[in-house]
Order: sequence, then C-alpha cells, then structure tokens
Amino acid sequence: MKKIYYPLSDELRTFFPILKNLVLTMEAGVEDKLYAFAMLEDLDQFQSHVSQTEASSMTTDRGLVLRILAGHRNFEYATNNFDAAVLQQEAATLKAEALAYLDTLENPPVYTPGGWKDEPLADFADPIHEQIMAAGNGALPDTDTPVHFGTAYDPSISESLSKAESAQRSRTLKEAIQNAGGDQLASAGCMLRRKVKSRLFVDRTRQMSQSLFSSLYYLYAITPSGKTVRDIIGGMAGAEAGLSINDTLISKLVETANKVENAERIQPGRYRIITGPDVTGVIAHEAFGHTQEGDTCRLGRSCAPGLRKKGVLVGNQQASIINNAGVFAMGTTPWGVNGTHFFDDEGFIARPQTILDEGKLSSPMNDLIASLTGDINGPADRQSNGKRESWKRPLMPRQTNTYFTAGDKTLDELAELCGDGFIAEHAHGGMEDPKGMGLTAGTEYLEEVKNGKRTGKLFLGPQGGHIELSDPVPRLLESIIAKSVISEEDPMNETGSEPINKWGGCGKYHKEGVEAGCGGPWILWEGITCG
Amino acid sequence: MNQNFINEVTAQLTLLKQAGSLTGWSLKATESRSLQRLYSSPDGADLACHQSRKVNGEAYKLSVYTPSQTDGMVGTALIDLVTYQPIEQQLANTLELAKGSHNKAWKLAALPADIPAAVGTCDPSIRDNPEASAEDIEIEFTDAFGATEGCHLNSAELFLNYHVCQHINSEGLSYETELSELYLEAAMEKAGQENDKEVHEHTTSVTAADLNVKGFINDCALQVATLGDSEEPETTDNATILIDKEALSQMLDAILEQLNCTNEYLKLPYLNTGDVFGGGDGDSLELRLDPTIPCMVLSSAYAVDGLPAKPGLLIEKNTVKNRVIGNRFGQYLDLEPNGLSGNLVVKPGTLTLESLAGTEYTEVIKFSSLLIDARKLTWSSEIKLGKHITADGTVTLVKGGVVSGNLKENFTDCRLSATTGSVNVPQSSYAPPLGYNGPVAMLITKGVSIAGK
Repeated sequence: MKKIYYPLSDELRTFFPILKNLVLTMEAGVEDKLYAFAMLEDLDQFQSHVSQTEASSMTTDRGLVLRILAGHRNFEYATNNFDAAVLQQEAATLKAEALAYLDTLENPPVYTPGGWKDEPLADFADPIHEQIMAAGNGALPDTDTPVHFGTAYDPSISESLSKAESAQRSRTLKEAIQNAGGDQLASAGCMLRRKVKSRLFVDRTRQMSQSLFSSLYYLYAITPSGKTVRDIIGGMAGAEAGLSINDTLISKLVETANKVENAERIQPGRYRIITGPDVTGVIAHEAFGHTQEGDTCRLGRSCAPGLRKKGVLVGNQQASIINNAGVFAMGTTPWGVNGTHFFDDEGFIARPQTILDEGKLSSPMNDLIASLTGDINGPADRQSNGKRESWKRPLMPRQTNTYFTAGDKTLDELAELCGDGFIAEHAHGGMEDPKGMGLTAGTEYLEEVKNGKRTGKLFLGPQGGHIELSDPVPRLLESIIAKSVISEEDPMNETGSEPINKWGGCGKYHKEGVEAGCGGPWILWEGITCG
Repeated sequence: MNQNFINEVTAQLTLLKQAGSLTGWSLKATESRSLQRLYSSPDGADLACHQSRKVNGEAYKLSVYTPSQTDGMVGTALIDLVTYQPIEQQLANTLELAKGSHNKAWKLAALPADIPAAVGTCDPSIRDNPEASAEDIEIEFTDAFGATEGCHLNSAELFLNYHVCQHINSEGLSYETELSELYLEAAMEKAGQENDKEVHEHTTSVTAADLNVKGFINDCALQVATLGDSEEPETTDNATILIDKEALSQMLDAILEQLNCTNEYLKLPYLNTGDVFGGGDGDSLELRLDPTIPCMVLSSAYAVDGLPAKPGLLIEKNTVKNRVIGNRFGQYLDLEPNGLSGNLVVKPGTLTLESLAGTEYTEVIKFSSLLIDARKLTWSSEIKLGKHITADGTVTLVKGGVVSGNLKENFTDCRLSATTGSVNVPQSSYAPPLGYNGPVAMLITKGVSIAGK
C-alpha cells in the first residue's frame, strides 16, 4: 500500500508570518514576564448521509486563538475575522490586559518554553520524529523553520479525495444493508465523513503545522421496533479505512439487528463480563482517565492526587492504562484513530504516558497551566493533553487515546476462563466521577457465554434498552482476571503496535466535545454490576 | 454581521435561481460573541479566574436545492460559506455537491401574510455589556457562597453568549432572531474534611435575572449538606423513583421526537393522533408546545423550518391529540404543516412532599449520565447521588448501581408535582436546546429496575 503524508495547503502556509507578527505584538520586550502563542485552526469536512433521505454537506471552520500566559492565568482572544489590523489591535489589547493583571501580583512566576533541542526526540513515534528531521533536512529545525506533520494515507484510492465517489459509496453501502435486511429492517443508513483538521502553531521557539486526515464510515440498521445496531469503522487515514467493509460485515450487521429485535432482557445484577476493545476503552477512559486529568487534579476535584500521595494501589497487576496521542498503528491496522495528533492545542508534541501502572497512579495528564501549578503532589511534567472543542471554546487537559495494555490470552481462552457470563462488545457512552470514583460504561447489548463458549444469544437491559456496566473504580480494577493479546495474528506483537483503539469522542461533564480514541485488549472481569 | 457579504451572496444566489441552476436556497447568517471565565478557588470560597476568554465569530450556513432530471426530485447540499474565499467559487462547489444527494422536492416556507409577533429572547445587558454582567454575577456568586455554611468551593465556570441571526430564503422569507445565553457551573464539597463526593451542578438561562445565582448556590449548598456515607442501592426489578425536572424534561424531549411526523417518513417508531401513551391511576400527562414564552431558549416567532411558530396541544389525558408536522416532511406525507414548535409545557399534577409520606422510594438527586433512547423510549444511568426513603421516613444516601426504565411504563400510574419550574438549556455541541415549563418532580412507580447490592 502506497502512503504519503497529508500536506499543508499553500493557502494555510501564508498564515505563518501573520501568526509570528501577532506573537511579537503580544510578547516582544516582555518575554521575561509573559509567554504568548498564536494558533490557527482549520476544519475542512465532507459528509454524506444516506437513509430514507440523502444529505451532503461541507463543514468549513477556521479560527484563530491568541494566548498569553501571565503568572498562572491564561488570557485568550479568539476570532474568525482575519483582518490584520483588527488582529493586531486585539493582540495589543490582550497584552495590556495581561500586563495589568501581572501588576497586581507579587513575584509572578514566568514560563520559558523549551526549543527543538530540548525535545526528547527518541521518545517520539516514528512519524513525528521523521517529519521533524525532514523539515530540518536531517538536522533539528530552527526557530523559523516551518515543521509540518501530516497523517499518512494511500493516494491511490480515488474515493479518498472525491466527494462524488464518497457520496456514491455511502449510497451503495446503505442499499447493501437495506437489501440484506429486506422486510426485517425498518430502515438502514450510512454516514460517511471525510475530514482534514489542520493546526498552525507559532511561539517564540517554533513554527509548526499538522494536518490530520481521517475517514469515518458509520453503518446502521434499524428494526421495526426502533432497535438500532451499528458499525463504526474509521481511522486517521483515507478511504483505505473503509476497505474492510464487505458483504460479510453487512450480513453480520443485519443478523445482529434481527437478534437484537428478539433479544431477551437480563435480570439486573452482577455478572462475569468480557469487554471488547470498544467497551474496554470506555472503562479506561472513564476509570483513571478523567480522574487523571490535570485540571480535576489541581482543582481538588479528583481523588487521584490523594491516593497517589498515600501510595494506594487502585487496581491489580493487570491494571495498566496508557494515554498516548501518538498512536499511528494499532494491532495489524497501519493507522491510528481520531484521538491521534502530532501536537496539542498548546503546541506540545505527543508522547506516551502511563497513567496507571499495575494499579499505581502516575502524575496527571497536564496541559501547560496544570503542569506549572500542580496538585497536592506539586508541579509535574507537561503532557500533550491541552485540547479544546474548537477555537470558540476554552482549553482543558483532555484525553487523547486511552487504552489498557495487552495481556497474553486469545478471546477463546478468555471465554473459557469466563465460564458463564456475557461479552460486552459495542460501547454506548460512559461517565466519570473523578471525586467519588464511580464509573459507568454503556454497551448496546450483551452476548451470552455459557460453559466457556460464546452462544451468539443476545440480551438487552432489564427494561429493554442498552445496558450500563457500573462499579466503583478500585473494585473494578481489582477484578481483572485476564487480558487478550493485541492481535491474535501477531501474538508476540512483533510489529510493536499499540492495542486497538476505537473511534470515539468525549464530552467532559457533558460539554466541551473533543475527539478521543479509546481501546485496549479484550478483558475478562470477575464481576460488574449490569442494569 | 458582515452585511456586504450577505448582500453579495444573496445577489449571486438570486442570479443562479433566475438562471435555473437553483430551485431554491436558504441562508442563516450568525454573529456570535462570547465571554468565558474559568475559576479555581485556592481558599475554597473566592473565585480566582485562571482562564479568561473573549470570542467573536460569524458563520454563514447555506442550503441549496438544485433541479433534478427526475420529476419531483431535487438535489440538496448544506455548506458553510466563508468570507475569505471567493463567493462564486464557493457557490459553484455547492452546486456540484448537491449532485450527490437526491431527495423528494418540497416547497420552502414563504413570507407569511401575517408576520408573527417577535418574542424576546435576549437580555440587552448580555448583548451590550457582558463584562459588567460577568462582574455582577461574580459578586453575586461570591456573596451567595459566603452566606453558605460548611461548603468548600473547588471550581466554577461562567459563559455569557450572544447570537444574532438573519434567516433569508429564496421565497422572500427574511427575519432576525437574537438570543442571549448564560451558563454558570460550580463544583463544591464539604469543608474541613477529606471527601469522596462533590456536588457539581450548573444552571443556564436566557437572562441574567433568570440565572438566579443565589438560588443556584443555595441549592448546591443544600446538596453538600446531605453528603455523607452512602450505600449502593438494593437490586430490584420494580423500583419506585423520584426524578427532578431536568430528567423529566429530557424524557419528554425524547417522547417529542416520536410526536414529530419526521419519524413516520424516516420509518422510525412514532406516536400517531389517537395513540395512548401511559395513563393508569396516577396524574395524567398533558403536554403542549409553546414558542411564545419570553426569555426561553425555544421561544421564537418562526419554527426551525421558517413557518410561523404556533403553540398547541400534543397530548391530553395521555392521548395524542396532535403531532408536530413540519414543512418538509408534512409535504412528503401529504399532511398540512402546522408550525407547532417551542418549549415543552406540562400541566402540573398532584404530588406534594406531604403526599409522599408513607411511600418507599429512591430519589435520584443526580444521574451520572442519563442516556435516553428516543427510538426505544428506554433509558439507563448510574446513580451519581440519591436518597432511599423507606415508608417510615428513614433516609439512606445511595450512590452507584444502575437504574433503568421504560418511558411507556414510566408514564403509567405516575405522579407529577403540583409545583412547577423551568428548564432552559441552550444548544451545545452535545445536545440541541431544551426549554421546559412544568412539574419540578415526577414519581415513577412502574417500569424501573435498579441493579446494585
């Protein structure tokens, strides 16, 4: 498969000098007091949704964020008016506000950013390292060298860049589901989304850009009683992300819809559960994902800093969770998902962080300000977790790709160990309680495991809806019995891949939606409350 | 608002329609301003801003309809126009995009003979001087928090947003709407001790006065006072629960989806006129829509499809009397579009605190994540915080476990509170806007399971 890195458009590249001038306006002469950066966001998204009606849309959104860090307070101005004079005026106003605030403080702290030479290049994923060195022609880039990062895609598949072909593909897939289901389905649909999300970042140390090209295929079948079964297939790639969609997958989707339509209901209670990567990922994200976000930690809203200070183990030896924006391959899949980026919305480059190591908590996932202020354990390393919904919203420490580390079992072996229980494969939301360590992760339905074998029989919740899996986090993380390998085709992980992450999103406390991949291996849990 | 840009776009669209390249178009132009402040509270009482933002933006959403070679069909596309690219090129791209979507044709809403009366949905102080409003709210917040006892403030957030929109289409429809939105959030816990529970709540409104900062802080403080040792709830397949107006409004919003004729065309489950929903011996459900209530998020002179917005009864004594028949799907189904839209309004019932005496129930103070399936009309969530009250009045704090329900059964033998209140939730990236006026509580006696101990 041929691969190229997605390029930065010439038109976007013209913004570098504009951003640099704005940074100069914000901090020139006061670098010993303030730290400033400018970030341009650009979204170029095509979507085709075909069901009983058809809809084609193009979403274009471009906005600029000016940021000054003064002491431990961020001042920001954001707009999509690119009039140079207006921007210069706003940059000057922001600087005046920041300096006026500093005047109210005694000995305010000052942040000084590190340059390219301070970066731990060896820790970066290959596509990051490679593109940094390419920008500098084999050496480290200098302050004014634009460094562009693009995700890889296969340019030989014409559908990737053709809206007409993508719309036709969406229609074909919808018809295939409808035809396979016949009268057993009330409706079927396909939503296909192709997106390029670009960022340009400039501060006193560097000029960087990234273009994240992604594809999403959302297939669904709806039964006469309104039960919906879906497949979400996507990744940080072009149309190659949809090549796995074939007749077998569509037949399975329709077969599952028919089973769900006639599924029995579980009795509310506690069951032995095997979670698939999708649900495993939601548990990772909600368990010590949100609990380890730097803002909740520093604001006293998470239990994690206190537990870490006391050295309390919050899970057994299988309880290890990674957060890593630099996932560019998963299992045997040669691309990442939508939680992947090269640098975050504060220009900090992606690197993996073990947030839970065999039950032991690490420092939090910090944005810049959380790394400076710290929690009850003091300041800690900055991570690539400063993210925002868009230029219109505030930035917070957010998760990227969060996943459990792999184990050594096959899925069949996990089923055998399970004995009698259920498999939860398809996620249906989740929610955190960082202070109270509650956790809930939804699943569309459960599949029965009896006498160590999957029976294929499906169950819905006690009232006929989806099923929530819920437990206090420490109890849950103590109950991991075994985990699967990353890929049964490569049991020793000779490719060095990360576990499978699924396409996902996160709305922190039901707002501020951002992209977030989550995943991990299949995991067998001793027992989880299901209702 | 960039009026020159709007004028240029509409002029070019008019020419394209005259040339036969378009059968119609509609444009929504929005100018937005937002003031955003995030706070920590190092001393557990005062607000210390750690993120201060000002946001100015404009957006132009264009829908186009193009001729089709098939009779009765139309090409459709929706795009964001931007001011930094040539308009002609953007419109050419849109026409090309419309070739990818084929739909049954329908007539766009035209300028009505009787122009509907405007409804006030903007607080001038939020529009004209948000900084002063923010400072007033900060002072009110600090004063109100200072008057509470035993509370430690962890964090807070304040958003003041203002949007002004122009809606224009090819049939001569043209009107403007204004909306102000306020969002206030607070996270607090018991003072002077190590806690494993916090109260994290938010309130939203259209006007600064309706934000009711003092009332919000007092409600939070009351919740803080109830925090203490908790248990997981008991497992049961036949629970009685008490929910608040936020949960009730979300459940009714799911039911509203099935009262919209769109579902019929899309072959999704729907409720038809004459259908019975719930009932039994409890309080009957009377649900109507009202777009005329001032300062509510779903109040507007026009419905979302450009028809004059009308109030009307949807459910009376648990029987469906009317459905929402929008312009497009009404025409598809050969039904007369009725413009019914607006805020959910529910008739109060008979439930009072006194009438709950002797009843065993679980009050869900806060769901962790109430996920309602509008197609199956089922729901499920972990209990973030609740109280179990026995018939003799013994109260136990509960937390964890999973509560799930079935709305068709939930509205059978239910009780709605005699006291009413409002919910005003602005649109977010997470959910559409929700306006509700009706009972502040509902006692559900059927169709609820709890998984716990």
